Amino acid sequence: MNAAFLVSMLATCVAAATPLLLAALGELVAERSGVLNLGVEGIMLVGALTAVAVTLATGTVAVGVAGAVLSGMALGLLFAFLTVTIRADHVVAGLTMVLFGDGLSSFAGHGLVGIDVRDSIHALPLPLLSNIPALGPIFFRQNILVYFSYIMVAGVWYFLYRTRPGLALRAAGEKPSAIDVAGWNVFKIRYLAVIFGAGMAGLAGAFLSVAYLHSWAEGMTAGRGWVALALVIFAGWHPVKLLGGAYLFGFAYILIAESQVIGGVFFLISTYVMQMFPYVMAIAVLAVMGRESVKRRSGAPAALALPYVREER
Amino acid sequence: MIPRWLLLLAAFLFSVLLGLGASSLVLVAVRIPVIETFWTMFDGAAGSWSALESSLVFTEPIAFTGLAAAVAFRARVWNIGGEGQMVMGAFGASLIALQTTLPAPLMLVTAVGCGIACGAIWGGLTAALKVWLGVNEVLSSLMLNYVAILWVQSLVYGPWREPGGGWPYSEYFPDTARLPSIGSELDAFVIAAPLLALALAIWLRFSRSGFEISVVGHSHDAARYAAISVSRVTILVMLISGGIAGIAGIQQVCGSAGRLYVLTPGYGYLGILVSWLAGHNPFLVLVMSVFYGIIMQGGASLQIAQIDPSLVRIFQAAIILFALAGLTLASRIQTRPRSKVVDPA
Repeated sequence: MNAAFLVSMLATCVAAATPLLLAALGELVAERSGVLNLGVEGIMLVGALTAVAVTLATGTVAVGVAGAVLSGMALGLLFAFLTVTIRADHVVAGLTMVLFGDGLSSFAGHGLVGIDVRDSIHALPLPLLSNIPALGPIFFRQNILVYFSYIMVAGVWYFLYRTRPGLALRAAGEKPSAIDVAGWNVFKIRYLAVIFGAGMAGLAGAFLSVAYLHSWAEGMTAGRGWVALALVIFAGWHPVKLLGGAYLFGFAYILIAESQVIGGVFFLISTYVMQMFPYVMAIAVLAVMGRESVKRRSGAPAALALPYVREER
Repeated sequence: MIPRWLLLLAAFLFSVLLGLGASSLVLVAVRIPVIETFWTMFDGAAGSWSALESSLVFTEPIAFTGLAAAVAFRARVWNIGGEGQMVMGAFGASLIALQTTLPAPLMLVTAVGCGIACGAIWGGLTAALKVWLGVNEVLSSLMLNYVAILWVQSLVYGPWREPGGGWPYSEYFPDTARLPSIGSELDAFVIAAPLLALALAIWLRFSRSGFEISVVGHSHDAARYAAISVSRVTILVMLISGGIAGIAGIQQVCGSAGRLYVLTPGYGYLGILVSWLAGHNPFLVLVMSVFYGIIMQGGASLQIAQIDPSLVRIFQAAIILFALAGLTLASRIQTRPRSKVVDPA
């Protein structure tokens, strides 16, 4: 394994990690506001399909990506209505969203399976930055959505920790009655946070279909939405730690894909056993985090998955 | 005052109607005749005895995964791993059926026992991770679903693949490891499901541990105050829940299929939804799984009528979305003042 191969492999890790990072960032914001959206997997599927369908219909990938984000936001609105307004159980509502997204995308996407999206998103090396040895090829010869994910990590961090609305959002997830008394609208905050999160999940789906695999396949997210949920816990609900976690998982995915190329000990293990790796790793990582959180504050929002009832504050 | 159960029943039926209404909008949108489609579904799933029998084929596994979910959810332990526990149950039964040669009655008993044990271990793993390592059970049980499915795939695409067979199936089990069949499509476990529901209902209602499960489900603080170990109850319900989900897997491989294969996905997740719709009541779980079996067989009849069967997944989701909203709203009408449940999943 030479240096050039390592660099190109790490670059593919960054690409593989991007859908996880986008979806997890969105979910992090939703959870920070107190809403647990387990429906990420379903929303990603709908986003992935919408991106392909709209791109094929309009011939422009940018419109396709925008459509994916909008479809995600629409599902987010539905989810927020169920959990914030009707106060349905977050876990059941989330599972229903997965079922809904899975059913909707496989029904509507029947005729589109395997069709190549002609106008897909290609790599766009950044001037100057892409010439930095090692780091340039790994981080700055990616496509525009990858760059967007970097910006979003910084943006979400800045919003949550350096702005008043961000403080209000975090408070809505910790003690909604306090923020209500302070004059903020808890329902509005949670609605916006969930819709933002679902839009990011839609974008993550679009990344998979038009920027990564370049076509639609039924159930193509293959558990990435669930891994994104695990990442949020792994990161202790902090956007910057999320970055590291996502790249770790991107590495796990690429290790599977490249296991035959790398050869050696990996060649002996069945590909099915190799594919278990990200899931087992997710559990292991959660276990390590779990032990930590027993000792310290875990960072979970105190009011996560609890409906807010004004009359009971 | 309207009795609470009547209110919930009315809310459920109304939600189903709304769900079907929303589904027909989808049909209109894609220009598929509405009445004809629903009639095809109904006729194929409940229009005759043989149609009902076919529906019960779908009901059987859902009843077991639904009961499995109900046990865990009563303690508010979010076992989303019914799918994986089911698959491990199928693996456990196959392990005995394919790798041992036991005499007639012992073979089936051991296969069933091993399947239940494997399901229970898989469920217990989630409990152990939660109790000792503080891992959120929603995520760990979910991740273990993927691990279990990949494990069975590695077997049926690998060492257990039928020699010379082109498909990912194991060899057929010996007859000694097959469940007695009932009718043309069902097996003996169709009777076991109501018996299990009865046993669970009695156990949950009258036993000490059943009471402890309810207390833990209502409040961890109350449980601790009453010297009930939340950890012990968590482990108990996950073992039992996993074991019952395992039965769903055993039923699928030792029943009409008679060999190990990559199980049809989704029964584990449907069990969760069925249990929730049934308010985690074992008898209502049976009723709801019959309802679900009919919907699924209805989907299969659509396929015969050359209508896209994945439509039925949209119908299911639409019905559940409305039922979720309807039942949540209806349950609030009489339950004020609400008790605050402080147990984030």
